Formats: sequence, structure tokens, C-alpha cells
Amino acid sequence: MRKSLSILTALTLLSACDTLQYDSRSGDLWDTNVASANDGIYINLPFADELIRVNESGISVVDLTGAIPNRLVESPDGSQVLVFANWEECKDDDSDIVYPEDCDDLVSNSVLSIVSDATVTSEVEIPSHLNTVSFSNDGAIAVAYLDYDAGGDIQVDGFADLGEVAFIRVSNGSKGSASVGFSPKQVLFSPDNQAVVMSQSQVVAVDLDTFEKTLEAPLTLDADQAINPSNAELAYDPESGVTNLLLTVEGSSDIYMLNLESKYWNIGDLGAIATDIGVDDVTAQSVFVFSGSSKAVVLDHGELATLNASSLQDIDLEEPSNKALMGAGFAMLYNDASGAVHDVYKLDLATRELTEYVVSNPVSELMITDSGSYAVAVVRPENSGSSDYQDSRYGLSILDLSSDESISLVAQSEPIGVALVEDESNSYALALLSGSDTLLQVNLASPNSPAEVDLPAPPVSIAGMPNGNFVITHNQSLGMVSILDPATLELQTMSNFAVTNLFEQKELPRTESEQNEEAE
Amino acid sequence: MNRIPSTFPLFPIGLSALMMACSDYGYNSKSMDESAEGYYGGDTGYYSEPEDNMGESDSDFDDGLGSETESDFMSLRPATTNAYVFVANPDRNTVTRISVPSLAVLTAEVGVEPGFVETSADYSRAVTFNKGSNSVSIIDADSLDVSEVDIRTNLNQMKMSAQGSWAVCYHDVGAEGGGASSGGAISFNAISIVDLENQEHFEAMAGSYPHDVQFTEDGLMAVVISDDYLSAIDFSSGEPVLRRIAIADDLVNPPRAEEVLLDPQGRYAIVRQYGVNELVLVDFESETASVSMIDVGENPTDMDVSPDGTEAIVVARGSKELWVYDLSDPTLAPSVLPLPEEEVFGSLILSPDSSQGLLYSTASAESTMGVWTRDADDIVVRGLVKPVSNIGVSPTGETAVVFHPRENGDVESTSQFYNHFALSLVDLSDYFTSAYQLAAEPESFASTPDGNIGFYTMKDQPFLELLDYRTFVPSEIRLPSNPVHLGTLPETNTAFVSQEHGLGRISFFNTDEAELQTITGFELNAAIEQ
Repeated sequence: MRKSLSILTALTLLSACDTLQYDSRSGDLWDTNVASANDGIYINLPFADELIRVNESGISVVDLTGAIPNRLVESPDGSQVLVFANWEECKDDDSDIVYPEDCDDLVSNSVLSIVSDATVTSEVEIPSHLNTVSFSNDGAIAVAYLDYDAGGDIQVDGFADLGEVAFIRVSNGSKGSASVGFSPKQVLFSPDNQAVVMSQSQVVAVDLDTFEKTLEAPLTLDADQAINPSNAELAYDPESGVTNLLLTVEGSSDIYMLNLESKYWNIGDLGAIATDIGVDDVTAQSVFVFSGSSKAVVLDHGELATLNASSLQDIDLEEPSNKALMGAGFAMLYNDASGAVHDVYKLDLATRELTEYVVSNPVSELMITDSGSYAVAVVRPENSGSSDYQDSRYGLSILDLSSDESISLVAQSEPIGVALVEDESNSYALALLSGSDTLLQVNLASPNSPAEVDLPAPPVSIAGMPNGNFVITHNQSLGMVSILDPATLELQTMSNFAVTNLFEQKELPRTESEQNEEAE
Repeated sequence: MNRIPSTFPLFPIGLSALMMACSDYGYNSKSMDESAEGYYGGDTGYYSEPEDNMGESDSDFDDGLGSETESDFMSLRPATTNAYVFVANPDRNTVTRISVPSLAVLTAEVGVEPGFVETSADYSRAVTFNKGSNSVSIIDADSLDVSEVDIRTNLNQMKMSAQGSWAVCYHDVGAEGGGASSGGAISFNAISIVDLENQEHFEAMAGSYPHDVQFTEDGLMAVVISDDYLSAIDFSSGEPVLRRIAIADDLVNPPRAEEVLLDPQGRYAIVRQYGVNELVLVDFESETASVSMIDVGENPTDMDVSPDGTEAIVVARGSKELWVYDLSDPTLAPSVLPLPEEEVFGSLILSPDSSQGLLYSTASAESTMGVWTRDADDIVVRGLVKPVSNIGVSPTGETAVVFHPRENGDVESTSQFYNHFALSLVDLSDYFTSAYQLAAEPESFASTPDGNIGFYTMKDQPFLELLDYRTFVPSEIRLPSNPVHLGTLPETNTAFVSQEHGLGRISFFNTDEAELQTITGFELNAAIEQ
């Protein structure tokens, strides 16, 4: 659990400083949602309004020229970090105004800074309300858009087109934008270098070379009817070489299929409202699951132009699954919404063979090892208030996908982070438990005697890094991250970075004219 | 009886001159679909409803049974090339093009409420009649480029020449749905003639209440059929020239011109009028288009052309006779064959090889049919489970398909078919008959080109029904939704069924693969912007 910097702590820290000004700031000193890049861990310090990079050589402050970082996103290859930031501008040009609090006409400007090696390589003006980023398949283009489901406050300066999607070429910061209609929901990237954006009642494709719209395909002919996409995936048919967009919509059992080559729609009936789509490129099939129906539906990608009886095949399940997690040639079907469902299914897409695993408790999360040999489920206590020891506790369930056996482990506390890793001979789960100073390395082939790694402080999260290591954030107010080498289980910890520039008072960073000069 | 026709040129109307506000009116849906395929075109065309003839017309004979009713679904154009099939979507103002054999489906926007679509024989052009916008849309079959030509208001029917060069639009008061009109003076005999090549519109006045248009084989002449006049339109000069030819003595209250047989070469037309014991022969080759009468038995109720086009056969229901005319010279004395005295037969359909004819009556409410073996001039009467609403012959001529109405006629209330629609298959070699009770009224019918399988759909029933003409074993394929339109694709054993769906749905069933394939949502394709 993260702890906020208490008022008392803040006052104590402030008392150590020779400033007479009252500091009204509050909140965490650092954001545990860090970005892992090749050159280090980038960390947002919301109290100090700074961005820092932490690595073996120490702490580097990234000069954002006065901009205040809000959110960090690393590029897929780890070469860059995208920093969503704001800088404050005083519209009053009185030269005596130095600090933001002295200005009565303060406005906020939004920028996206692209950072590499602790240096801003480019900066892009971007609407403040864009809260979600997706990267193209090669990581070269970042697509920013507003996803209402992402949560958080929507900040609008003046007038804003909430349907605007920004396309940023990460290498040089060049930017384009397209208006894709109301409430963009999801962005997919097709093999022919196009971004396919789902929004309310339409699908828009944008060429990633020119950032021009190449397709606007409505989902309805009735302007008064709102069709909201719920899930979308791209399905490739190797025989025809055609990529189809598969799209489910809220409140409907229809599956919309758009041939991206011929630009033809076809619509099928799944028989129930789908909650998830899984696409398997190995067998060129897709799997649909339904929280309200005990079945899965398999769609053959080769039969999408016209649907026949074999195009959509129902697979009966004993209990409904609402999630589909894809392996190579198979799908793991599970339910993370129901407190009563204990079934996890492996569906072999080549043979349609269905294997049922019954895990101890309801599933919160399911992961598959890269080799596809194991699946690991994080399970949670039963909702029923059962007094049964296992029923009332968190745990891990390990599913051996080769032997179809499963083992359920009880956890001492809630797993707050689980990652899977494999070497040449073994598969492991790295598990962090709430309140525990220990990382557990569970050998999935013999899970009963996990190796333990002592942590310097209770963990908050674990995430993979581009180089194969893992970054662990810790519940330490002054900042602590550890880098774990999964091969050696060696831990490298860096701490106390959150006080960097903590008491440095920020002046107004730049004026509009300076900004214009920079742009020129 | 000699009548002098009037001849006058027509004047082109500017394309925008007839833009009128449109009003909503119903879609014309006959009891059987007009575009279903699979039966040869032996019938001469229009049949009126019985009640149309019970008034005060100038007729010679009335047995009280009224006209025979014959739906057009048995007599549709054969599809001759493998290119495209077009389906009009009146609710969405689009037309759907199905490519054969790829089944690729594209839609194009046309005028408002396209009631039906016609295609040229070479499938290079499709034309929709847009009742809601008083226009026709001319569609290039390959590119789907659409041109729209405004026509007169208050029209509800269109016929196109096989070549796709000319279309004639008219108001048939017997058809469901009126044309769109903005009010004011409304004419029921004004017609629109559209030059489809040059997208030019002409107006003209035909006889009262036109109810059919026929074109000659070369498409250079059309005849608009009314009760009082035949209006012959000559297109040979490049512009339509119309002359009206009176075919009734009483032009105020003429007898109903129920059927017209137009010579494919345009030399003459034979008109059968309700209750008139003569046929009207119109000779177009004479300068004055002479009209004369030829003998026929009492109360002729049906006139068919033999499949080879050499003979016209008229059923004289009143005198219980078949009159067979030599069409090389209709004035030659016909041969006359008596029908069974105890039966009432008013309709005839010939087998494709002309070796047999099926005799029945849709007006008598009697559950019988007659099989006429032409070589022997022998007529065998067979009992049926119910009266007849329609009869067709399979493309091979081996099987008769008999449709029965819900009305019971002479059927006992204990019958399994009492108060039900029904269908019978009759093996014409041994008259083995198999009857099927139907859940609803059949609406569309078609057969595969190889003649082995028949298809039909029923009102509000989400099934494609199959009839195996060899085994007589029925089967059905469940459709995703209720059917609207049924047809077969050219040169394939594939039926297509368009269905109710807001975004367009069409299913294909190939009898060789026995698999239903469905495309849904193709109406969205027209709205895609690239």
C-alpha cells in the first residue's frame, strides 16, 4: 500500500528548510507508476514537480523546461519515455511576476515530451484531455486519445474536440491528428501500417505515414442510433492475406467484421453478448466468450466474407467465462467477474478439445508462460463468506497445460504483483505479497518450495523491463525501486530519490513568446 | 371492327422539370415473387383479380366464377449470363449487387423507395423504379455508377426492354400502392418513357388504366395494355412514337383486357378480354394497325404460348374447350379440343417440352387438375388435396408443383389440410402425388437451373424450403431471419434469399455444397467513405 506524505511529515521536512513561505502542497513524493526504459527507471516526483531517471550511476533530473510531468509511458522498445506534462503560463506580462502563485491570470498548457537518456529530444503540444496512449506495432508512432473508460478528470482548455486522436512520430516528435468521432474507444494497428480507431458508431482508419484518414466506416445508418464498440481485434487470414477487423458492440450479440482490403462489412450473430475476444494467429481463429452464457464461440478467419454454419462454432462450457487469454494455438477461458465460478478452460483451437481445470477460488487474473507450458491464476477469497481456510484466502493456482494437472497454493496475503519468467529448463512465477518483505520465486513444476528473496521494504508492484529484468517498486515515502535479475535473483535497490529538488520553488517556467520562439 | 389509330410524336421532358415532392405509399408485393426463376415463360402475362370483372363491362359471357388467377412467379425471365444479380432494398433506398460466382456483395444508393429492379439481358445495366422519388435510377452494373432520371408522379410500375435501352413506367390501379403525387390533377393513364441510353424522359398518354407493358424481342417496340386501347410505342427512330389502337367497341366501359400476346417480332398482338367470346387481333404491319376479331370458345380464361413459340392455346372455360392457334398465321382456323364435361378448367400451363399441359382452375374451388398428353390429346383428371391457387412445372417438365390456398373449397373439414396452405408435387410420368401442409402462405418460388431442386419461402417463416423433384422428400434450411425475396443465381445451383435486417442480409444456398452462407450488414458498405 502506498502511503501519502502526511502533513506532519511535510511540515517536518519543511522545517528543515530556510524558507519562510508556507507550502500548501500535499500528496505522494513519488509516483510508483514508473517507466522502465533501457537507460534506467523514470520516475515522476509530483511533489517536487520533477521527472528523474534512476539507474546504476545515480539520479538524473530531466529538464522539462518548467513543465510538470503528469504521466509516463515507455515506448515498447524502451528507447524513449513519453511524458505527459503541463506548463503554467501567466497571461499578465508584468515582469514582477515570478512565481505562479503571484499571477492572477494563469493558464495551463499541455505538452508531450519525448525523453531519451534523461534529455528531452522533442516536445509536442497536445490537448490536455488525451489520457490514453497506444503504440504502433513497430513502436514508431504513439497514438494518444481520450478514453472515457480510462477514468480520471477530463481537462479541457477552451474548446476541445474530444474525438481528436493525436499521432506522434516518436523519433522526431512530428505530430498529426484526426477527428474520429465521439468517444474513441480503442486503437488497433493493421499490418499495412494503418491505425484503426473504434469510436461511437464508426470505425476510422488513419494512414500512419501521412496521418490522413483512409476510411470512415459507420456502424449504423441511423444517425440517432449510438453503437458503442465494446471490444475489437484484428484477425488475419493467411490464406487470403486479408486482415479483418472484428468488433463487438455493447448490448448486442452481433459481431461486426470489416474486411480492411475490400472494405466490406459482414455481421454475424454470436448468440449472446460477448465480453472478450481472443485472436489466435497460429490457427487463424478467434474465440469469443460471454459472461451471460456458458459457451465459447470460435470464428474461423477464413470464412468471414460469407458466414456459414461452420464459420461460428459454439463450444459448450459448464460455467460461463468472460475472459479469453490466448496462447499459441489455444485459448484459456476464465471468469474474473463472478465470485462463484471456479472453472478455467483450455480450448485447443486445432482440435476443439476442451480441458477443464477447477481452481480453488475465483480467479482475479490469469497469465500464460511464454512457452505455453503453464498458466498461473491469481485467485481471491470466495464472496460467500465461507469459513473454509482456503476459500477465505488469496492464492495462486498453477495449471500444467501439458499434463492438465493443477495445483492451488494459499497465499499469506493478497498477491500484489505476479510475473512469469522462464529459462531454458524451468518456468517460474515471481510473486509479491501485500505486506511481505519477501519475493517468492515459484518453480511452476514443483511449486511447493518456492525460493525467497528478501526485499528491503514491502513491495507495491512488479513489472518487466525491456532488458528482461524486473522493476519492483516499494512502499517507501522517500522513494525506493529495486531491479531484479530473474536469472540470479540478485536485487539492485535505489532509494531516497523522491526528495530530489523537493524544496526548490518553481518560477513561472516560460512565457508564450518564449514558447513561440522555441517552436520557431 | 376496324379502328383508326392516332399517331403523334413525343416530346422530351427536362430532367429536372418533374421533380416533385413525394408521398409515402406501400410497396407492391404480389402473392408470389416476380423475380423467382426456374419456369419457362409460357404465359402471356397479365391476369386480373376476379372482382375486377364483375362489373358492368361489355362482355359476352359470365359463368359467375370470375377470372382465373395466375401469379407471375411461374413465368419469369431466365437468367442467361453469369455476372450479377441485383436486389432492390426499398427501405434503405439502395440496390444490392451480387457478383456471381464470387458472391461479393456491393450496394449503391439509388432514388427513394426503389420498388423493384430490372436488369438488361446482358447484365450490363440495372434500372430501379423509385416510387418514393418519382424517378428511375440507371446503374452501370460493373462500376455501380448511378444516374437518376425523373419521371412523372403517380406511377407505380416499370417495364424495361431486354436490351436495357428503354423503360416504360405507368400506373397500374390493380397493383398495390399508388405512385407518389403532390396532389392536384392526377392522371391514371399518363406514362413515362425513359431513354436509358441518353437518360432522357418522355411523357405520353396511354389508354385508360394501363396494366401491362410488353416489348418486342428487339426492344424497338413496346405495347402498353389498357382495356380500351393498345398503345404501341415505336422506338426505331431513336425517339418514342406512340399510336393508340382501340380494342373495344365500348370505350367507356370496355371489357377487361386480361392477356395480351405480343408477337416477338412485333407483327401482331392477340388480346384476350374477360367474358368476350372472341380474341382481338391487332395487326401492326398494316399502316393503320388494323384490328380484327378471331373466333374462340365461350369465356376464354387463359391464353398460353407453347414453349417453342409456334402455338397459342386458349382455354375456353365456358364451352369447356382448348383452342390451339398457329402463331405463324393466327387467322388460320384453330384446332379445338374438348375438355371433360364434368370438370371446370380455366387455366393451362405447358411443360417445357410442350408434351404435356396441366389444366386447373383457381376460380372453381374444385380440388382437381387435368393432365393433357398432347400427343394423344388425352386428358387425365387427378384429384388433389385442396383447390388450386397456382401450378408450375419443374424445369425438366417431370414434376408439377401445385400450390393450394388456405381456402378449403370442396375439402372436408376432417382433412389434414383444412384451413391450411398446402403444396403438392405430382410426378407427371405416373401421377404419383405427395402433398405437404404449409405453415404459412408461400411467397417466393424458384428452381435450380438443373431442375432438380425447387425452393420456396413462406410469409414470416425463417426457412428456405427445399423440394427435391426426384425424391419428393422435402427439407428446410433455417434462415437467420424472415425472408423477403428468393431467386437463383445464373448458371449455378445456388438460391439466394434476401431477408429482413436493418443493415441488409442475404443468404446463399448451393445445393451441391448444402451449406447456407450469409452476408449481413452490406448496406453499411455504401456509407463507407474512403
